[in-house]
Amino acid sequence: MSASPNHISRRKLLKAVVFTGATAGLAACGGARPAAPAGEAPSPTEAPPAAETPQEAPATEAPAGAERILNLNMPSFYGDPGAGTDPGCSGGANTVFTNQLMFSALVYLNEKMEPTPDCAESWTPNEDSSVWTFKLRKDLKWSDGTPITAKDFEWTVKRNVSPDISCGGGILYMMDIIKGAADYAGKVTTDPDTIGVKALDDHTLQFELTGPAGFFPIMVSYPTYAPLPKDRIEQYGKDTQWTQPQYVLSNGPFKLVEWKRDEYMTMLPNEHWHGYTEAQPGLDKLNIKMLKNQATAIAAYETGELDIIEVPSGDLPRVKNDAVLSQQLITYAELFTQYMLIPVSAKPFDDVRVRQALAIAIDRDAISDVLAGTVTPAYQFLPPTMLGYDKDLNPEMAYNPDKARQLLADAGFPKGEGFPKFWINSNHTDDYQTMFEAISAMYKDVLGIEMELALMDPGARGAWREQEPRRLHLWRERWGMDFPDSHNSMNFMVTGRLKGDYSKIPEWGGYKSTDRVAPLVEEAARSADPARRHELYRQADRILTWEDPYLIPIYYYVANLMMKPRVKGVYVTGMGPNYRRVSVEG
Amino acid sequence: MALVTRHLTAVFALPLTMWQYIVRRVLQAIFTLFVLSLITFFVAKVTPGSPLGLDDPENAAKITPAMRKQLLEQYDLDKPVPVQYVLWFTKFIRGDLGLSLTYRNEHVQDILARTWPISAQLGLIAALLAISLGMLLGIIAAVYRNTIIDYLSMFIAVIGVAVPSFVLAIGLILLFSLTLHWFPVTGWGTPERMVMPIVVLMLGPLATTARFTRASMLEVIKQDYVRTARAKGLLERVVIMRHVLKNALIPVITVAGPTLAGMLTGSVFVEQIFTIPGVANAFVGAIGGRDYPMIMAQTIIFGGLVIFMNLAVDVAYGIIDPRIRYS
Repeated sequence: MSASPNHISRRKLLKAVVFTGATAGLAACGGARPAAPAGEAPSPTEAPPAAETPQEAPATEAPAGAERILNLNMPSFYGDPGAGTDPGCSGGANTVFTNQLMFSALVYLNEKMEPTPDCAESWTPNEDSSVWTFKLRKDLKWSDGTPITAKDFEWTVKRNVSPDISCGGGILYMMDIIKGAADYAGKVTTDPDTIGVKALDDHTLQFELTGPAGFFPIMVSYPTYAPLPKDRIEQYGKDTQWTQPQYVLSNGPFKLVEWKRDEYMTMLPNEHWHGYTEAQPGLDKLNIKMLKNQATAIAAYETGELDIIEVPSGDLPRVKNDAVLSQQLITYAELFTQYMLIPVSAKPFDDVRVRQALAIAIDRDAISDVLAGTVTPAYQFLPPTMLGYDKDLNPEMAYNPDKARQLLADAGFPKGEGFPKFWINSNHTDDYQTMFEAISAMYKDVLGIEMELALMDPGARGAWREQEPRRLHLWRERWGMDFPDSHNSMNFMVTGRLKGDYSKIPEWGGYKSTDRVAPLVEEAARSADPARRHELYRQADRILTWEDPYLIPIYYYVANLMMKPRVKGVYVTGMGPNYRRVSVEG
Repeated sequence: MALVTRHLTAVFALPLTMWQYIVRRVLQAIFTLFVLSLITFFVAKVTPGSPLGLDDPENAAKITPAMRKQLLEQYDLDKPVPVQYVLWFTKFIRGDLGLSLTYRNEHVQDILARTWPISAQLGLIAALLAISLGMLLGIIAAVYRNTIIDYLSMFIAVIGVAVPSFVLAIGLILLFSLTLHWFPVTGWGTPERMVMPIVVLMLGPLATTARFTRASMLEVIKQDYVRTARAKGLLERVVIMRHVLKNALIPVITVAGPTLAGMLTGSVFVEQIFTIPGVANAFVGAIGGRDYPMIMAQTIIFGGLVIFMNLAVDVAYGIIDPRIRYS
């Protein structure tokens, strides 16, 4: 095992050398800036106020001094949300990001990720939580001042599950919990009135679900549960044209007024938003730039052109060591799990002991060290703070080379002899390459088995998997939660994986514990008792990750943001930053 | 100035054989572009992967089979590849480049209309500066060869060739944005935003042009007729400009044509690092997203531009050196 850490640190060193150009250079300049006096006597507690003046000294592009402008960057360097910003259509993180700025759903999630009244002021379930009635605020308006009623919500839900929705596909998996939605989307019926959503009067909205779901109020925080402007969509709906600034109406904190493709979006506070109070808006203008290049984004932050950025992993050590920048760093755990799926019916992976050996031959702490500061080790599928998460869930899964060797020997492969070569299929990024080279080295050193890397363009992965002759492989996947309830993750694992498309592939289907996991997840969805749900998800997760491993969890993502001290009112949860009360000083 | 005017008249007074030559080359170009479109289309289609993120495993969990079918139908992707090509081609010759698969509510011609002017502006300014300054540097180096001026010019040229544009870009950002606060890091449209991208884009071609000019000048300076020109008492300036430079231009023009074509079509790196909403930025996204209509349009435009530049260079040879004959 000794070779493995060396291997990692060599890579790490190489990376460090590569980054020296940008990092050391930037650091040097940071010191040479007028900010230097603050660094002379590095007193962390005093740093922020001292830093503020030089930070803003460039005062880049605010011509009128009085205007309070917030400059954000599109998250995750996705750039322009090319397909439009239709909350009814599936899109990347950039689409959800703009949706949440422009639209208010039935509820929003507060600092503790609890559902909090937004468009709905209250909600009540029926006896078994399968029917939910939402009382809407009476002052809901579109950004042009016209009123919004429960009818708009009803129409929007039906539109969002429509099979004819004119965009890159709807977000059915967020809505198929509504009775009749899946049948309507799958063209089993063409009658929209079979969908379980109804406006009882102008301010009351009722959902009938496929079954009991105590978590439903959390789910309706997602932007697909925001109302959409029927008239505009019917007039300009083709190809999501209606999301263009000249047509769009929204009901959230901000309204879109300009969208220069691949360059920026401009939003203004929406004076007709129901949350717009005397204290609002705390700013005059919101610019969303579309900087895809990480080095550029951090440079733009340092010159004051951006107020909030995601810190590129290569810059993280420098930021942490900088007296000023480290004060602006915000680190939070994302509800995002990285894992490898196992072909449970392919020899020799059909043997539980082989799968367990693979799970415990990974030194997750070493991997976290390599991907410094951007991940934490994962020993189960559900992330921390979620029901079913238990840090003592899988004590056996801790890194244990001796036990791993023993398990593999018991399965008939002492020292890995006779074990077939296999691949790990994944997208190609620097971090994945680093991680899988490390895991491959660990498997070789600990177990004496060969795992080859098949890292490629994401679009090519499907073709690779189907190519004859078929190759024995693990499959890297990650799951980021859409709403903070374990149902989201576990339901995906059951309906999307155990019973989904993968179950039809010979090597991947036939997971023997499906009949154990699925009822646990179903019962947890029905239960209203958090303690009971916790226990059910706990059991299901333990089966999936240890008792009869279907997947090997590797790490949870950790997000690193930097925010200028002049930005106030932003709170950060596992779902990311929330800007509904954002303000800027000066 | 007289020199320039004379050459401009020369273009309009091209001999008949020259016009025949041009027409033949244009016809050839059309055929070449047709073959290019055919090859590009089929290669793009056999490349693994699909547009709209359909086969991206991170996304695929969220797309149901019904949605998938609907999308494939909507964009004609469910038809056999030859049929798709015919559909594309009939639209293309009518001027409809199709709906982009990454910017789903925009037609490719609209995307090109908003991105090309920006890349062309950046490329044209950078190319003109690169060629004129490069030639100047080359002439100076040749005239003062083996002096400190020569070494200095060539040192600049070597730096220009050797330093990769991303290092240069980062260096400029460090110096002029982070340290001196002269220029903003990103964007396009105002002069202070344009300086750094133009400098980064032009330095490489400038260096190449300078080295070509110098080498070519030194070659010509050794010729007998230059000695003769000097011997009959012409001013050194006249010797250099009229006799040496004019004859030394052929190799320089040979590289200038493709250089110009390359710069006009945008630089992926420069556009990405400075966040310039140009055509290269859009093209990279198109390839990653398997945006077939966009890939086709870009390839044909780029191909057409390269062919045109090569033709322009060939014609320019004739104007500069009347001894060159076209057949």
